[in-house]
Amino acid sequence: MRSGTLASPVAAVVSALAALSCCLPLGPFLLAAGSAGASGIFLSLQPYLIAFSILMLAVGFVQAFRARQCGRRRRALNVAVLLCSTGLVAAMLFGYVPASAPAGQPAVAGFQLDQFRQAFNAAADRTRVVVLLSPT
Amino acid sequence: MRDANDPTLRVFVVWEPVLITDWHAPGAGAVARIPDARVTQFWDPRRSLSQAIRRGRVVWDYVAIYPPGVRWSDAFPAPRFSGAPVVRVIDDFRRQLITGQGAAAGGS
Repeated sequence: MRSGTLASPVAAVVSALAALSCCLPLGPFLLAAGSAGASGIFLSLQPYLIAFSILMLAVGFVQAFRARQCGRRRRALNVAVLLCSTGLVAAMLFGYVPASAPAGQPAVAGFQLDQFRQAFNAAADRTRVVVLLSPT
Repeated sequence: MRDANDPTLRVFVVWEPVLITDWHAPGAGAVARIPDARVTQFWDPRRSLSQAIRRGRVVWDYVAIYPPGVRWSDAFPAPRFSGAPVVRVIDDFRRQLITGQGAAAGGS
């Protein structure tokens, strides 16, 4: 097995982690450096890193398919890493889909500042409460 | 929120990534913690509202009350009451929401 065969899924996972985080392996380090700013950088890069992780997964699958000359044990390891990488990337991507809202509430919406401003002003005839929370 | 009987109350809950574990949108468990039908929930992965409220700082674990008549034009309007973290100001918040009295408390 060539090192590139394993490198692609690993790169996919690393880029997915970077894309979907202010967190995980980089988290404590970034926190120490001032996490708000650092995570903002990753959030802005998120679409590119997600695309890169998917691309690297695809490359990994192609390389794994071509690496038929590898021994059985190495091929099994390669497939296992690829499958784990795919599962991890998929779980993280699906994790970004908001959960459905409780009964009686509108669906959890992706935040758009202009739409929020309109909703806020549309309810200007009544008392409003704004709450900012982190999911965890 | 249960203590506030005003059926016209509008509540905007905005979830945003802040902690190192916030690498995904709020799950069913988080969203279900606020079951009130007067609530609308959002997921703000870029912390746009936080930046609108206080540029350059992350505003979170934060609650604010805006009385009728307040509109958001250029800058995000000043609340009648705001405070953070929520657990520390929850009693004042509840009192303000029910009585609608008093001045602003400390923000985050």
